[in-house]
Amino acid sequence: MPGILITANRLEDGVVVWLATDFTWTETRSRAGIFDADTVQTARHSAAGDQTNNFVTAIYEVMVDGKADVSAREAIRANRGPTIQAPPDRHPSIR
Amino acid sequence: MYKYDTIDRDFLDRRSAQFRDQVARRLSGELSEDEFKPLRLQNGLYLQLHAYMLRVAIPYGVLSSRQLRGLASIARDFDRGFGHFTTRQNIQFNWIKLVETPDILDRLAELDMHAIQTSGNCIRNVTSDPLAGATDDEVENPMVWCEVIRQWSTLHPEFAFLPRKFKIAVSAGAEDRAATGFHDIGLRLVKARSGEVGFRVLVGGGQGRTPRVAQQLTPFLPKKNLLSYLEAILRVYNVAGRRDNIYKARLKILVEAMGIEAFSDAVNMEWVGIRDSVVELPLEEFERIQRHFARDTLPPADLTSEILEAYCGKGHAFERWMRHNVLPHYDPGYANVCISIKALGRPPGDASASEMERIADLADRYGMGEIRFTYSQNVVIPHVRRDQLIRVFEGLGDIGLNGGENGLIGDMIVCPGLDYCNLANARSLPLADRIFQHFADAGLRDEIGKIRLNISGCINACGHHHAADIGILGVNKKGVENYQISLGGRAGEDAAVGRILGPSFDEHRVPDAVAAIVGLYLHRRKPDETFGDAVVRLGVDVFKRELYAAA
Repeated sequence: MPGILITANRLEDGVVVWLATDFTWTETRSRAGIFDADTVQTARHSAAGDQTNNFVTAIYEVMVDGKADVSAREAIRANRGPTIQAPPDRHPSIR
Repeated sequence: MYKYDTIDRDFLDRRSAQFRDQVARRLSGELSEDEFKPLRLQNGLYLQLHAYMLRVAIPYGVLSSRQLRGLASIARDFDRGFGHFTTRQNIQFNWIKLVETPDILDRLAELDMHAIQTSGNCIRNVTSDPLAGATDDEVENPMVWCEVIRQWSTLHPEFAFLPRKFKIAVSAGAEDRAATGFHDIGLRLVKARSGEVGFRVLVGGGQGRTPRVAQQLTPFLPKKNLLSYLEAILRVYNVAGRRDNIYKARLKILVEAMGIEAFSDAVNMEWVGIRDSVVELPLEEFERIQRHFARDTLPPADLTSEILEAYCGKGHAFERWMRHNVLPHYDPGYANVCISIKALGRPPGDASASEMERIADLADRYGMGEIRFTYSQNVVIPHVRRDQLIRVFEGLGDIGLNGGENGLIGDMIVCPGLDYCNLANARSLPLADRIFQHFADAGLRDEIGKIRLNISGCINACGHHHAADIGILGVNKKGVENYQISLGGRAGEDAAVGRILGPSFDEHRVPDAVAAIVGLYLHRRKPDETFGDAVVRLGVDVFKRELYAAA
């Protein structure tokens, strides 16, 4: 089912979050609410309130087809990290 | 290298306390995001795709082993254990929490470091030659002038709100290793026939969506007038630069719109009023700064070494590394070691905390405790005794960083791309790895020889694709990542903007496309002709035909 996701960054740590159907923010993309024409206005209102209250920042909406995020950008964001492996920190350092 | 005094330290402590207060006021809601954003950007803090990103300034790319260890500890304590080296010789941390940023700035201040002017519409961190002060092909040590510019430009009240960001690079070598032709102001130290040293001043260079090679503003500026002349350029730009359109706000657009002669007239008109005035650097201050960069007395070292001789011919990897990554030093008994932060399976320019610590250890043990970050996202340890090179090679081998890729096809400049960046259209880092895989045979990379292949994930061109022999630009084609290929860019003395070859390719086809281009070069080159020179001789169209015939 096509719909709209509402996403943002949590203000205090920048972590990517999505608005859930109960209007709390989740760090898990699969728990994000997909809002339709009937519910999206209330969702937007709730999200904007959380921005005013300094809980989230940089809110935007994403159109989805109901199965997968449509763009590479949103897929990477949903994956919560890069698609390549950073060099591992082998602590404690070799001396 | 330059050592902070109490003035520098007090200043950083105050700055850190100021940002702590600003963060607290943002979190409490006293400051809105619109009010806070320019403040955080002035402290190098961006909001990126996954989290906040902090860009820490490494003035002209020079840092001590203690500072590098400090950066490693920040990566480990506040981030995910790694950092990313940038073309402006800075380092970026990708997973920063806003609430912890004041603590990070305190930690940086303890290291005599900060993130000031690594972002925002101000004079950015000045960049330079990573071999500065350690090579014999330079007119004089450009770091002295970089430090003069750093002190002059840091929180310069008149230039805190420029129309757009402003980048300055200084180079003094016969070879331009600082890409001065692609800066708002490029300064090249030159010696006149009289023997006097001064600056050849270039203006209006830059990349992004309107790439331009800088034009000469004056062939020779006396050193004593540097600050008044820079001030005059900045004043003209500050007043006349466009503020109505972010895409037309850089100096390059102003210089082009006015024409270099009219721009030069405007600068000279401004300059007349301040030349030889209080704006100039006092001689005693110049001498104070210069003393920080006096050459260390290096212990005598043998020109040839039995150890080195013994190893040569026995290990191909060591010979490759010696050939590509060991760079000449002004003392023939010494060398400058380039550490390639590029290898198969490694995101170009990313280094882990433990790798940074090992590099710091090697710089202490075999160098002078000093490290340089380079324009091409690598690291240099200057002043290494030649007879100890094998030890450095072995030490780097322990952390998998002893590849000899400097200047070869694997030595790609690559932006973070869509894996990290909010602005990107396409990923850069995985594509770099695909290309590396395609040229996995070290013998083939050696055969291809000197070539620059750069990748940017969007038209902002942080990966400097315009300035590459082979430039790759990520574009968004109906939501799918695609890549345009350009040819013929150069970043050195003969700087040039590459030309786009034609329609874009998807990520799977890019390595074959690169291989077709490189294959034609290998087939048609003359003896000892580099890729860049072959493109000039044969013309871009020859490669274009080959590429699209194969595709």
